[in-house]
Amino acid sequence: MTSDSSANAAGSSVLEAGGPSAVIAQGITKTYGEVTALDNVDFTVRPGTVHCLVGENGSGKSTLTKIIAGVEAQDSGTVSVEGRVLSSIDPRTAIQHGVRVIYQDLALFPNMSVAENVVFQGNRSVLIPVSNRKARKKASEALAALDLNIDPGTRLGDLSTAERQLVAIARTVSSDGKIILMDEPTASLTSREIDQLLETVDRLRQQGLSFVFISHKLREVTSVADDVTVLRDGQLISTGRAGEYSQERIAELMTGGLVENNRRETPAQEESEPVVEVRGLGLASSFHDIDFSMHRGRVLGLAGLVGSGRIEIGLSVAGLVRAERGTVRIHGESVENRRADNRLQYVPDDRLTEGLFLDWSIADNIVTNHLDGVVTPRGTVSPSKIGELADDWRSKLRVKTPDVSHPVSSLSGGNQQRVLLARALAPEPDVVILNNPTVGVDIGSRADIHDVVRNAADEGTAFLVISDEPAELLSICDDLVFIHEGRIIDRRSADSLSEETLIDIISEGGRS
Amino acid sequence: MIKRLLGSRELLLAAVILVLAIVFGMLAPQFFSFAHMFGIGRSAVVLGLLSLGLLLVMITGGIDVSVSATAVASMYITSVALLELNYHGPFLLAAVLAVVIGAVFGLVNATLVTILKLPSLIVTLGTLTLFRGGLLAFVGSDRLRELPAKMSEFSTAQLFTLETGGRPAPFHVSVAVLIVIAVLLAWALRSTTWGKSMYAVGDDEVAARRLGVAVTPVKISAFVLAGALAGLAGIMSGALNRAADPFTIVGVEMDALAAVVLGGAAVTGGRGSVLGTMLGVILITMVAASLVLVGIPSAWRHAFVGIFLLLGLGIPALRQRRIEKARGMVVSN
Ligand SMILES: Nc1ncnc2c1ncn2[C@@H]1O[C@H](COP(=O)(O)OP(=O)(O)OP(=O)(O)O)[C@@H](O)[C@H]1O
Ligand SMILES: [Mg+2]
Repeated sequence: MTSDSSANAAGSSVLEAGGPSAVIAQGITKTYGEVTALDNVDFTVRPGTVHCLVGENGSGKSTLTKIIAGVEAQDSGTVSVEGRVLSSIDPRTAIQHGVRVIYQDLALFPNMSVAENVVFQGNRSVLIPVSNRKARKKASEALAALDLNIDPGTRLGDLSTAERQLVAIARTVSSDGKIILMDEPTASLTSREIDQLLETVDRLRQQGLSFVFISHKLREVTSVADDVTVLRDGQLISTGRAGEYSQERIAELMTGGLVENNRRETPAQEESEPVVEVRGLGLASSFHDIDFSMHRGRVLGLAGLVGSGRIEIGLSVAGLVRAERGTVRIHGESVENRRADNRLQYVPDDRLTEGLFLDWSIADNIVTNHLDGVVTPRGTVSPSKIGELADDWRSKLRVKTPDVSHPVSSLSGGNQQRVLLARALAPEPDVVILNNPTVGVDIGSRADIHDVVRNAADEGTAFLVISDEPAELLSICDDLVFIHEGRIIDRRSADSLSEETLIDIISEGGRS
Repeated sequence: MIKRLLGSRELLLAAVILVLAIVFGMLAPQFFSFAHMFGIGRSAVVLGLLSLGLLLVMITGGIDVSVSATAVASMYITSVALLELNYHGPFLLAAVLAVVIGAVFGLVNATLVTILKLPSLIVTLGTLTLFRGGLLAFVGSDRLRELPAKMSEFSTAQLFTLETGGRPAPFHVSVAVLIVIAVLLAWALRSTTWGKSMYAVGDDEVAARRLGVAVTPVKISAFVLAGALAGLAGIMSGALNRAADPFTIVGVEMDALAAVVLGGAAVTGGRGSVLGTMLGVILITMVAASLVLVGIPSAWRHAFVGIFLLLGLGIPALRQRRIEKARGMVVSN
């Protein structure tokens, strides 16, 4: 354990300039069965500051937030808010003390409207009348304050992942809290939305609110943080003023070593026969005249703004959305029912609602698309083969769990993402479509996942990657297709592109 | 236009009721008489109260199939007790007693569901037979024809009587009671923190807890209110029929389930409205009360309820598919 002596002092000092600390967590230990999620961690948030909490997947960040919020009970240690020790471990108590949380899994109500979600507070006296008209008005204001264009009357369940995340943000910042815990609030946002959020955080900080901000995007961390705390495997590794931390240093402290973010090398030679051939694909309002080919061992990226139709194109190639025009051929033959075709796998970005069976074991989730691989000669499913296959993928993708028979819901967010990826790769498909494959994944693991993609490509799989992150596209793709307002505006080889040019092409939308 | 109708469950139900009413009216002119209308209202009381109780539980994500047993047990115990005591006082007190007994039964369900954390379907299937069986074993199985006087008199307690075309059309007090309770519940669900919390718990219990909802008391309130409403339904049924019969109100939980689901509630919780439920109750009661009128054997009524139930489950599924398709979001594995 590399400990920073200079920084650790901040963890236990009760008084800072400007009154009592907003949050002091002292000696927090939390175990889940044999997993130690937090090991004697001290954590202090100074009033009116943003304290960034960073660490790899499964390092204990969400657990610490949940303990401060009273959602999980610590095994030992105390939490005090604004100088007062929380009397009972209960979300209501924390809320009364002004603690508000954006949970990693959002904790929104899909059957309620956006407005109801924004204004809902469960800790009021039960018979106090609530005015639905006022609620709508307050919600509209909260959404407008964040410059969001979402109809407050929409059912929340009908929104996209990014929109839901924005609603969760609107709810939290409009609910007159004093201490706001944000667990990966930017995971599915675009850079414009992220900038807007960071501005909001900055404005509220100036009004005296205190923040705990968790993110794997270190650019955000260094730009918004006053203080930084690094966790690794449930241990406090380092804590101190933001000035002492560069992105490189944080990455090093998180992983305990250096992380390199390489570009993909040695792209395979294009073969004459494409694995997937998309011709003239079109769907009324989403995209038009989409032509591209995917080749064995090559990674093709779809770049574009949110709403440009990239995701719909991916879904449509995967056979999950029916296109109105055009054809998709796999190995030269036109395949109508692509969603049932195991040669082609789709990995959604929303692991909670579209992806995983949270109550099933990790192993069962991994094999769901690859039952052929785990049957005995007699035709029954073999539990031992499931275990072997799952263990194999656990080590390949470094899923952090003591046992693959544990439910997926016991994994940290980033590790759930890896299970989703393992499930798609397990049947050794010819084609894999990835929609933002590293949402909520830490930088070290992101490099791992990129390696997995590259290796699978080297073994012959053809990939289609949709990603909001320019660096990710450049890191794993061989070729890029740029989509703007549903049409292809450019095609480039990734070798020849810098990140700046890529961003330029995306944002200018072919106007140049 | 059709899309809009599909969008609002209540509108769709109202349209179905209207069309069926017109069909019935054409086949049997007496359908559109006040006498028949008010009669439908009177037959809707017991089902209506039971359905409202079930609705509350379903909003919180549970289910209560024991409501019919609670109703009959509260009614019979109340009647037996009052006869023992030679009670001659007002009906109101009898009703209060039945409501309290029903609430206690509700509390039993609530305790089993919240403390033992058993699935509510299992718990209430158990208590359904337990309440009925216990009643027959320990309280009695005789049909009591001689109820306390004030209780029997309630069967003719009309709020007003319209004289149309020489035929009297009485409007029974119990219909007004049902309407008042429905309006109160609709308000409480829409416009109080309790109401919003009910939906929150049904929608996502974990999220509700994180936002400060006291989940267990909210769930208890749903089961206890369902029990209380069932108690009221039971005593109304006894009074309206002028007899305490431990073998009545059998299987009504299925009609109630059909009504609530037709009205837009989901077995998965977080959805449903009082208006929708009441429309579901009206639809089922109207069909049941009018089949004979148009010459269809009343045995068909169960087939109709079954069809309604399937429609109630099928329409939202289709609607969701349509929305997802329109948004280009059909994603599944
Ligand atoms: N309910 C649970 N049951 C069992 N283990 C759990 C549970 N919740 C968390 N854990 C374990 O505790 C550890 C810390 O998890 P936590 O969610 O705090 O990580 P994190 O830092 O938020 O990671 P990520 O960046 O992936 O979200 C992980 O090893 C995780 O598997
Ligand atoms: Mg987390």
